[in-house]
Amino acid sequence: MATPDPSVQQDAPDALALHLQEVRRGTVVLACLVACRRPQYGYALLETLAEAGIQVEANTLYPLLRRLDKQGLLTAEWNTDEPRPRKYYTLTDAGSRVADELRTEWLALTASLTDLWKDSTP
Amino acid sequence: MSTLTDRYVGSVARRLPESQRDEVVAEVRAMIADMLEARAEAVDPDPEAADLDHSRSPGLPHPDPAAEAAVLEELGSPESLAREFARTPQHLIGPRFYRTYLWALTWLLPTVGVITLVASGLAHSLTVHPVELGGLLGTAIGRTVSALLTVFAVLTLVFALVDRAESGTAPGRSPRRWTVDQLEEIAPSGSSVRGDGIVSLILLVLLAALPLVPTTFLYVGHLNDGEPFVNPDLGVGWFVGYWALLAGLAAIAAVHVATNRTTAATRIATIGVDILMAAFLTVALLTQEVMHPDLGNASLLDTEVWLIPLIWVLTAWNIVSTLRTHRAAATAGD
Repeated sequence: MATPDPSVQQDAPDALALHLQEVRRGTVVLACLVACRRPQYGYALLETLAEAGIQVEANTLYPLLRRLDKQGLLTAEWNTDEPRPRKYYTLTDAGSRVADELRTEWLALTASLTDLWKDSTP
Repeated sequence: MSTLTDRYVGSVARRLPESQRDEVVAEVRAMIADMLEARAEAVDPDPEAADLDHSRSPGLPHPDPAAEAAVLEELGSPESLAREFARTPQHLIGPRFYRTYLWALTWLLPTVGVITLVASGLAHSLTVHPVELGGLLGTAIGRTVSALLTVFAVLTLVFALVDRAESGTAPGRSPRRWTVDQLEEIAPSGSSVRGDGIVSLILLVLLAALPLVPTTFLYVGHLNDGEPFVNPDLGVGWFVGYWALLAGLAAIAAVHVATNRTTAATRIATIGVDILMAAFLTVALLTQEVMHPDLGNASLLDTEVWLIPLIWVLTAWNIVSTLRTHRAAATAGD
């Protein structure tokens, strides 16, 4: 029986972490768009996502929100009525259309993967 | 807000483009404040007990230093946070041009090195009497190192500028659809046609500047008071002819760069213009005093004696290289 290559064994956890990160990265945009159907400021959104089981770091989320704002998928507005000024993000019409498309794609991918998993399971 | 946070935010701000700075700084401050507040509430859910000092900085918490340090460390280094926000290129030369850049370096540096070594060796031998080996080596090597550093710097700068210009195109602009017609043509030397073209363009620019370069550039300014190498009294027609032929070669090189392919027409044109240029320079050297008169007087050997053979050797080399490309293309069915 062949001995597994130690370097492959050592690289496996790194590879898993990398691929998990890739899979999650694609979901965060959709999750942000969906959660911002109701106006949210950054940290509240972070908590909303965490409660929904979607883990995202603050240093990833805030720049992402800014990019989605620049792309016209979210609209941002500073609220100065509270003790501390906070920037609230809301889904735009364009963002809503993108979210619908992404969700459709997500569901289709889930169905495809489920079928593939069933077909390839001995 | 505390000095620690100010230092962190300042460090992020310094790494951001001016246009984004104020907005992002406000966001980062709000983010840190929210994270600190969440931590304080997690430790003690009673807001009255939380150490909030609104009088110090209205609306901002006066945080526990340990909590503040933990929040900042959770955010990561200011460099990485600024990078996430700015998303500007973090490289001098990106992957699109890096291979061509490396190739241009490996082509240009030896070429320029050899030419400078030979030219400065010749210039020293022909103008210094008596010639001493130490002086000859010191001069030639010193100038070659200087020329190599200059070429390296200029090439790097040009590629960096091209890279910035290309990456600065409007977002969302769809790139031209790739077809097999754009498959890279590999020159017999192993280089790409586009790489060859870029190197040719750079060399042609240097050659075009040659009549204007003062002798001080090669540290022999004392021979003619820093005037150009070329005789300033040479007829304008000779200069125009020289630059026109160079422009012809540059146009062919530009076509190669743009299309990344050579064609039978461009290969024949290259050979034709090469021969025309060599003949033009030969006639000029034989009938005119091309070099500055003071340099001619200081030289032990007439310029045309060594320059004309050198010109024809370089031309022959170029023609052979073009013919090899032609043969390879013919074999490939072009």
